[in-house]
Amino acid sequence: MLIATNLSKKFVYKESKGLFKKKLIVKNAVNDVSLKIESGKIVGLIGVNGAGKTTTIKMLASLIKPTTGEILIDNLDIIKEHKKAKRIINLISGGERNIYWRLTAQENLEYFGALYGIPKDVLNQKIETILEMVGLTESKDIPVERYSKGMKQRLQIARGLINDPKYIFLDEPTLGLDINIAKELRSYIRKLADDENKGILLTTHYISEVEELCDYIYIISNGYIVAEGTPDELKEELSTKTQVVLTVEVLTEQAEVELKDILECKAEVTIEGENIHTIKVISKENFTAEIIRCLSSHNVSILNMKLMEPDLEEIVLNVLRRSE
Amino acid sequence: MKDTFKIVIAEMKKQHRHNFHSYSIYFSLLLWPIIIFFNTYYTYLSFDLTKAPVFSGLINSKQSLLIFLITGFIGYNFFYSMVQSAWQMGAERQNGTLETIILSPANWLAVVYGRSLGALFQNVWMFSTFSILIIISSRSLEVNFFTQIPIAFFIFTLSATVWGGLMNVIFLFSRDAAILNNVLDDPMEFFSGVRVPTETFPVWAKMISVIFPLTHSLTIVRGILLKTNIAWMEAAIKLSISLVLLFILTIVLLKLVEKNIRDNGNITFY
Ligand SMILES: Nc1ncnc2c1ncn2[C@@H]1O[C@H](COP(=O)(O)OP(=O)(O)OP(=O)(O)O)[C@@H](O)[C@H]1O
Ligand SMILES: [Mg+2]
Repeated sequence: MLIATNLSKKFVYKESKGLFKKKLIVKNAVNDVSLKIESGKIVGLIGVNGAGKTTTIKMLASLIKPTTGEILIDNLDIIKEHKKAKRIINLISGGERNIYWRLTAQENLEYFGALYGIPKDVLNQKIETILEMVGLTESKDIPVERYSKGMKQRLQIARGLINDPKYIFLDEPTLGLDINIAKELRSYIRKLADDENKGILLTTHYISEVEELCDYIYIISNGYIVAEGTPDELKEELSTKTQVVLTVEVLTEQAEVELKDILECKAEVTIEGENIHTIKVISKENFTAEIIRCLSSHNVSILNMKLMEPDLEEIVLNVLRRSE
Repeated sequence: MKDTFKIVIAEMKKQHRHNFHSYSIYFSLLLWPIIIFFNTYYTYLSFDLTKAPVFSGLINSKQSLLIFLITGFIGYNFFYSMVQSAWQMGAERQNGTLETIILSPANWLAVVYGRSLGALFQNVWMFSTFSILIIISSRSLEVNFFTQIPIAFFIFTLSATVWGGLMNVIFLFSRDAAILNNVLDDPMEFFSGVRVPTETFPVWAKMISVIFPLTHSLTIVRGILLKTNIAWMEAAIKLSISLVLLFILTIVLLKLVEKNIRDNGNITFY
């Protein structure tokens, strides 16, 4: 398990004010972030631009040193032992950078594999397997500059797997990919967690991606974790509204009074219609059971009922709005 | 240690694969210096140099002038190709591949020297041209192809690699290092005695020339090929000291740059 505790990162840099004047700027990019990644699980880190996702990921990947905090991978202190840590982790960034365009896929992987000191025969075997996995076997001898965006992104994934990392960090892996390729990529990511038991941390701007893939989610805003939980937990705890819409036949006055009585101060109830009534109940909690009990006790027949699930995107937006 | 060696080889291979398509590199590494070389040679030839005080004693024939100039230019090119390899560090920074290298546990020193050796490797064929030129032009001087030329080659390779390591680290430090290239390049050519023997320099210029390992490499290589009576031990010691100092400087700077990158995360800036 990877456990990061109270990670903070302060960037200190000079900004020039005119030709000779320089101003020292301190930027708190990440504040007190704690998170866990279990093997075989996919963890999502979501937040708006500049929230601190990439900075967090770079600290986990040992590219930058946290100002304060601790990162342990199976009890190995990876801030102190960052060279050791680099053998068991890898980072895959979205986009088309980070690989040599003039080299072929095979040559790229040979080079990056050698940086990890992998013996040649093991490496060749490994390259063959991962090229197969990302579907680049046929184009492995073509220079990368002739690849499509999706192919480059798949090569990035292959590169990130070259050292057989236990933990993989993915920084916006589906950036700029079309829906088909993005979907394909998501299935690779799922496979890495399910079949190969890798611990995965993923940042993305697409909530649907998080909802589809992630076992656990952290929401980050201005460098602080403002909410966390499984997708279901987040929906349950953070949803500001559940909406129940019922269509009923002849709502008696008594039933109406009792219904409003039950839900008083707990929900917002609107009733419309003449013969056939539409009842809309918006509440924080889910009162469906109570509503049905009340209506049936008055023999009001329910023609139709719709329960609107809280939308994760809306929840995230709400959380972010509140945290500002 | 084995890993280090593997990284050096991988780095050389990568550079070769990366640059192989680019004819401009070959052009700048060979054609350009040859043009300058012949320009200088024929300029010198139009004076009677055997009587010129600048070359007193050192050069007493057309052949020795040719060897003097060829060694100067080849030596200079070994060093210049280092600056070019360092320059490409800028591209690696921009393409994000530098970040990918840093992501790996690879020893940075191995990467840095792999880069220098890679650049040199691409010049091996240039060395062959050099050798042939020497053989053709120095029949009367009896250059021993099997001992003297490999020694000359070894001295240039060693000193240029150490120099290249330092250049590469400096480029790791700053994206503005390209300026340094301009600052160092021409002075190196002048003060190392590529075209004019350093013996004729005034004291202040000699003091500057001591900094560049190219100076000492040229002294030794010319001593071998021109069979002049140079102070062997002195030149060898000077070269060793300057190489050791450069090596130490490289390691110190590398530690600093590694800390700088880890603290500021500015490796992706360009
Ligand atoms: N090397 C650096 N030096 C100074 N400030 C930095 C550095 N890297 C990031 N920052 C600042 O830290 C903050 C967080 O940046 P970060 O890249 O982590 O955000 P992000 O969540 O990845 O955003 P995005 O969704 O746009 O990728 C930003 O305000 C950014 O300007
Ligand atoms: Mg980012």
